[in-house]
Amino acid sequence: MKEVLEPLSHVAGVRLAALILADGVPVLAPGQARGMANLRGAGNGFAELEAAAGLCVGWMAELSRSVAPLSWDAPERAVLRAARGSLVLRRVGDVVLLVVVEAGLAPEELRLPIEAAAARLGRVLRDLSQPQTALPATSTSSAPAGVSKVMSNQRVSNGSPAARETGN
Amino acid sequence: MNPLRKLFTEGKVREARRRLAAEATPLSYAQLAQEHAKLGDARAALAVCEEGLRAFSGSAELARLADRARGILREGRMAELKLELSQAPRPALWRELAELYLESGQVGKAEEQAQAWLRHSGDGESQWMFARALCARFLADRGRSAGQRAFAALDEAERRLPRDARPLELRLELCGRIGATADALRTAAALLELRPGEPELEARHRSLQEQSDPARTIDRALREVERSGLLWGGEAEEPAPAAGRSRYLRPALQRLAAFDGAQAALYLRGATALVQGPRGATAERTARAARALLLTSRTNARRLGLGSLMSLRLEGSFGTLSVAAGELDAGALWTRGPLHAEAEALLLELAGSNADVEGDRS
Repeated sequence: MKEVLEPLSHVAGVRLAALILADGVPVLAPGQARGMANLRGAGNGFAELEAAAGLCVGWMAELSRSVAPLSWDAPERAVLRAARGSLVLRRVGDVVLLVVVEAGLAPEELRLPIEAAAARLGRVLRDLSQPQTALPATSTSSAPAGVSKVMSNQRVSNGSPAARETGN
Repeated sequence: MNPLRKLFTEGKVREARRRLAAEATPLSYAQLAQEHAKLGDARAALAVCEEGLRAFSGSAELARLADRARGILREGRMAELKLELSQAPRPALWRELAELYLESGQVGKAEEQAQAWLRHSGDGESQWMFARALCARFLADRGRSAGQRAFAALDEAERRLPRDARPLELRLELCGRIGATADALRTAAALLELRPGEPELEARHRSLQEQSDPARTIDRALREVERSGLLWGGEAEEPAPAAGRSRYLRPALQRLAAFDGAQAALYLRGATALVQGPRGATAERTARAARALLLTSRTNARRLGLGSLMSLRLEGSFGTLSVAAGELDAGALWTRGPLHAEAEALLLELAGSNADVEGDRS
């Protein structure tokens, strides 16, 4: 995941790029938490990011509930533009890619890098959803440290998005 | 400026002066101010505008030019202050720079400067300026976390400036704006101890005694402001809808609905909506969904510290739903494909038109 998020977080105008699991737990590129701290003006960046991730997932759920009476599916992409910056949420399978864009920059200008990251993320998630026994023994050790391992474990314990869909 | 060009522009200034002397009108004042501005003399331009405004106080053009000249002067002073601060930082410069940022509505930058000053000196004055910046930020964004930070900074300012009325005055104003009446009453009482017998303060204290609601704590009041986006008594402050504007809405909605792939065009204000495209129950459902989206997005923008909502775009298997939000109203368009640039411009026109739709409801 880190390999996908890191290039996106270095794009000019991107204040923060993070990944949120379905339950609102953030997985982020290292060093990016301060972006959230600046955004909300508080000191503890990671705690702020956790709160913001929860808010974003809750907001996506509220958006889905709001459009459900129109028989619309849940939105794949939500872009909120506000006075102090913009928020782009892109649903990729069961996870949400969160990008906070600086004020004064149109989120549409970043559509290409965000969509490219979403596509790469989709590929990574597909790879992770393969049965773990089929993976070479070295793949776990070569995985990015920390958050990516948490992500891998999550997939293993909860099953893949595809498997869950089939199950439902 | 090129000397030849300067000579030419100075000639134009003389001409504009002669025209003004021959006939003093708002236009002749504005022309002279513009010529001064072209020469880069914002101070002279402002002086001309102020003279013109004394004679023609209702001139919108002169008022606009005066604002612009003030803005140029402010920016120039800000640049000087930043340079001076980088060479010899001192409290007077930080204070002036932070105040200029607050004056120009750049609350984020005011906060940065106040924080830098606080880090450098750590005295009561810097804390007071920091609290002012945070209060301005809360009043602009109306988010609960911004409000909590503002109150925390005020607590600290009161601690560092114990016999100073300024932090208490600001707390009183802030409590009054969010409707934390019991806290406002306590603050007014504390202020009366510092300034006993002040008639205005005593009147305020009496009126707060009548309004005081202990159940509406600061935290509860902040939550309420974040949810609704309105300050205490904000409903009464809302500008009345412009009745004449509603006749422009229908044609604008019709033009929006005529774009390729457009499914529905909406104008929302309060509990009412105009819908172009769907009819009957579908129109009602679409309006309800758009209103719910708008409400939740406004609240979340504030909670995330992003400030007031400007636009929202949702994409999915249903197509694209674009919402342009004004302070009190919004325009929305649902299209099958991507949003046309011209449609986006039209949506932005709709948002903020603040039209009276009561008599023209779909």
